[in-house]
Amino acid sequence: MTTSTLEDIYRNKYPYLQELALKIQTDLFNYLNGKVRIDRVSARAKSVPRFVEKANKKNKNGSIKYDNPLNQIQDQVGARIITYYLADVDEIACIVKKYYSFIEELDKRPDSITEFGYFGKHFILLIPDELKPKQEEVEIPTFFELQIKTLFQHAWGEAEHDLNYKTEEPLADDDKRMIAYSSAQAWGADQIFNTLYKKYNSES
Amino acid sequence: MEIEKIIGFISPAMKDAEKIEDKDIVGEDINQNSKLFKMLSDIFNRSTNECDIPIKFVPIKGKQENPIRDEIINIDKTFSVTACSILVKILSSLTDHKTKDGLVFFIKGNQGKNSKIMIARFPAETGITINPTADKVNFDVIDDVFLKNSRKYKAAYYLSKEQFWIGYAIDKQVNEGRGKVKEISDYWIKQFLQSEMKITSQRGTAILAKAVRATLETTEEQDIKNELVTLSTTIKNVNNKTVSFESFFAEMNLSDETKNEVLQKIDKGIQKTKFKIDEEEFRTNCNYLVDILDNGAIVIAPAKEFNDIWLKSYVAEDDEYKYSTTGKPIKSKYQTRVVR
Repeated sequence: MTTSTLEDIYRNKYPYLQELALKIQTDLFNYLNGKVRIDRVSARAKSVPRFVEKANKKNKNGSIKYDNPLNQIQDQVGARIITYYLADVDEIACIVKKYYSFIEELDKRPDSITEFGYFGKHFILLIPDELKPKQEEVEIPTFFELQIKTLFQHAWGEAEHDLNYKTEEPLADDDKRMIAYSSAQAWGADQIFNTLYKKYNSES
Repeated sequence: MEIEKIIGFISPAMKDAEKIEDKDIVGEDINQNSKLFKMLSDIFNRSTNECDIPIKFVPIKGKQENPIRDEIINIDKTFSVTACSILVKILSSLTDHKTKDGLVFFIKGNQGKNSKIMIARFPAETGITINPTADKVNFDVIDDVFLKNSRKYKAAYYLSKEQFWIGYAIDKQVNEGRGKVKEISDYWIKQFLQSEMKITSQRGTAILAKAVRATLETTEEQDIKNELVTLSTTIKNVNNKTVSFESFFAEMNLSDETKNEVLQKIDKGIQKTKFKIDEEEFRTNCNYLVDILDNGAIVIAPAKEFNDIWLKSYVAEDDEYKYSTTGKPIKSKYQTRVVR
């Protein structure tokens, strides 16, 4: 399939994915609301340019990564739950697993314990059939991605992502260290707030 | 639906065997012109309706990995006796002599643009044959008759568009042997396919309970109200049982009127979907039962104990009821509003 055909198919599908994202957002909120502390729940359909960019990705050996991107790209709809404390992340994950079927549950963190970078809990969940748009001619994906993060993890992730996208040249080593340092600060802030939350919550 | 090829195996019951050798698993391509091929083709074509339990593979250690799914993908790529025999070996290692030997067929074909792989297991049964002659009938018992309409018949199919993560299964024993002999219900979906229901028991039950709650709030029919109120006490009888939104009402001996009114509040596309009832989840969603009277009174109690706490007697004038209870007051409070 050529890139332009793929782009056309996805562009036609995009409004349905937007509608689906909204339904997923509401569904997640309804199952979590009143049971656990959440700052916000959001969901979005992957934009057409980002989808095309991802669909054309290649492996390190130069081969194409996705031979059927419309089926294989699992974050065509992505949702995010932001919460206050690290302890909330596990509680939210527990509720998510009760109401959604999953095929992946990952605690994303840097490979080495001496490195700092992206932190967050990721799920690949089945899109519940009752939320899918009913148009038969549109092939709706089977899965969506869910990220659960603290406010600090979210803030770091957003700024880092933005910076990486807007910078055409690779970052200098010291700049990379500064970004890792800011991740360490966010990590430290999460540890402090989580400890204090547990201390005062258990005392009350 | 177009069928490419069918391969059949004898799957011996070898749960107690120390090791299963390659020679224990015998497989063969099925001749495309045979009666058996025609019969299996019909099963393949009807599977969209017959395989009514949506399942999904369980990921191992949170990663997108499952050994049975890997084999299904491999079977899709290289449909051969060698590729299929790996799954037959696994099935034989889980099959005891009580479950008996079986015939296992792998069918590869297409459904629309999708590649479709189906596995069907016919159990060995005992049958009787007759040989009538002019003056008498001879009866004979034969072992190893393989029947599709046996309760022990199992099947599942997978589609490429769902990356072979989702399956659709038949397992008429899914509600059998709960408790002590749970392996009967777990044999096909949980143990062999390493799968679970596609819709979680909590989600399925929450959808059902919310529809029941909404119906109770909106229906004008007293009979429907009465039936739905009994659910708070009878739901425990079907805890952990596999039902569909449709079949639940027959299971609970509820009327078609009640069924139809509740089903109106559930998405049509999932009404036949099967899931396991979770009593606790039902109670979470239908925790308190509230009767609102036209004189301003609000009568409330935990749903499952409502009829024990409140004695409700009919006063034969203007459809009025008298509610009475006896208890020790522990608290009085004002509320700004009551949600009706």
